Amino acid sequence: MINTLFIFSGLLLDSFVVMMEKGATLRRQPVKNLLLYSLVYAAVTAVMFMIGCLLSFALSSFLPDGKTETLTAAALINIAGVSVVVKTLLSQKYEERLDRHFGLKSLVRLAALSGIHILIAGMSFSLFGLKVLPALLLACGLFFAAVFAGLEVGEELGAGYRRTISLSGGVLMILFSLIVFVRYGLG
Amino acid sequence: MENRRGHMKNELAESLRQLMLRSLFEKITIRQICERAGVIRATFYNYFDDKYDCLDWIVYHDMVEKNEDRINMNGMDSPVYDVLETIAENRAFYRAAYNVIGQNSFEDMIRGNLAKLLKLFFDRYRKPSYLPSYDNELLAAYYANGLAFCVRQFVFEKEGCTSVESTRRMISSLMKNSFYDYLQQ
Repeated sequence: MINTLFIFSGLLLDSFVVMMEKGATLRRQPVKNLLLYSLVYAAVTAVMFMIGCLLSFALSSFLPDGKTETLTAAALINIAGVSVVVKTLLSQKYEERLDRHFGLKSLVRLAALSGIHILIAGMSFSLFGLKVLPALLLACGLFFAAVFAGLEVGEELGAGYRRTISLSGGVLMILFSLIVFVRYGLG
Repeated sequence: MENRRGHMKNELAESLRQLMLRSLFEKITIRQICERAGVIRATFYNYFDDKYDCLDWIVYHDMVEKNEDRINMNGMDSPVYDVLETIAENRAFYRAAYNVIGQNSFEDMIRGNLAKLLKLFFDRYRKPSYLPSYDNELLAAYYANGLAFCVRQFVFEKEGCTSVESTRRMISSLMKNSFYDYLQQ
C-alpha cells in the first residue's frame, strides 16, 4: 500500500498541476462540468494504467527473476520522475489566458499526454508484484479527486507554485526509485 | 446591465493600472487584479481574455473611447490634446507600461488604438476623391506610427519640460505639413 501511494503521489501532483493550469484559464464552471471533467480524466488515467500493466506482462517474460523485475520497475519509476522534472524545467513561461475552446475533446487529449507517466507507472506495478485491480480502483478515486481539486484551485487562485508542486512530484518518484535501487540492488 | 458591465471593466482596468505602479507587468497575476478590484478571480474572464487584453483596453479607454465624440471637422487637435492630458495625468503608469515588450508590446497597443482613433476621423471626414487608392485603414496606420512616436517622446520627457499644449502644437504641425514642405524649394 505504501509503495502504491508513493508511486501515485508523484503522478497525482503532476496531474493536479496540469489541471490547475487549465482551471486558471477557464471561466467559472458549474460543479457538474468539473465533476464530468474529473471523471473523464480519471477514466483516461485508468485506461493508460491498464495499457501499462499489459505492456509489463510482455516485458516480464524477458526478465530472468523477481529481483530484476523489481529493479526494472524502479528504473521505470525513475524515468517517469525524471521526465516530470525535465518537463517542468523546460516548460515555457505560463500565461493566464482564457481558453475559449476547452471541452471534453481537449480534456481527453490533455489526459492522454499526461497519461504517458501513468502508463509507465502501470508497467512498474505488476513488475513490483503489486495487486493491479485495487491499485486501479485507488488510482481512479485519487486522480478524480486530484483533478477536481486542481480545477477548483486553478479557478480560484490561479496557477502559482505550479513549478514547485510539479517538481516535488517528480522528485518524490525519483527518491522512491532510488530507495528501491539501494534496498534491492545492494541486498 | 451594460452600465454595470462597463463599470466592472473599469474597476478591473483601474486595478491593473494601480498594480503596474508598484510591480512589473510580468509579475502581476489575474488573481491580484481581481483581489484589488474586490471580485473573485473567475470574474476576470467575463471581461478580458488575459492581462494583455486588459492593458489594451486601458489604452483604448484613454485614447479612443473618451474621444470618439470629440472628433470634429476642425481636425484632431481636441482629441490629441485630451490624449496628451490623460497621459500626463498617468505618466508613471505609461512609463511602466512601455516595459511591456515582445509579441503583445505596449507600443503596438498605443499604435493600434491611435490608428482606431484616426480611422474614425478619416471615416467621417476624409475627402473620398483625394488619393482614393489609399484606404482609410492604411492612412490611419501610417499617421498612427508618427503619433505613437510623439506620444512615446512625451511620456519619457522630464515632467514640466514640455507642456501638453506645446506637444499638441508640435503634433499638429507635423500632421499638417508634408515631408516635402520641410525641404527648400
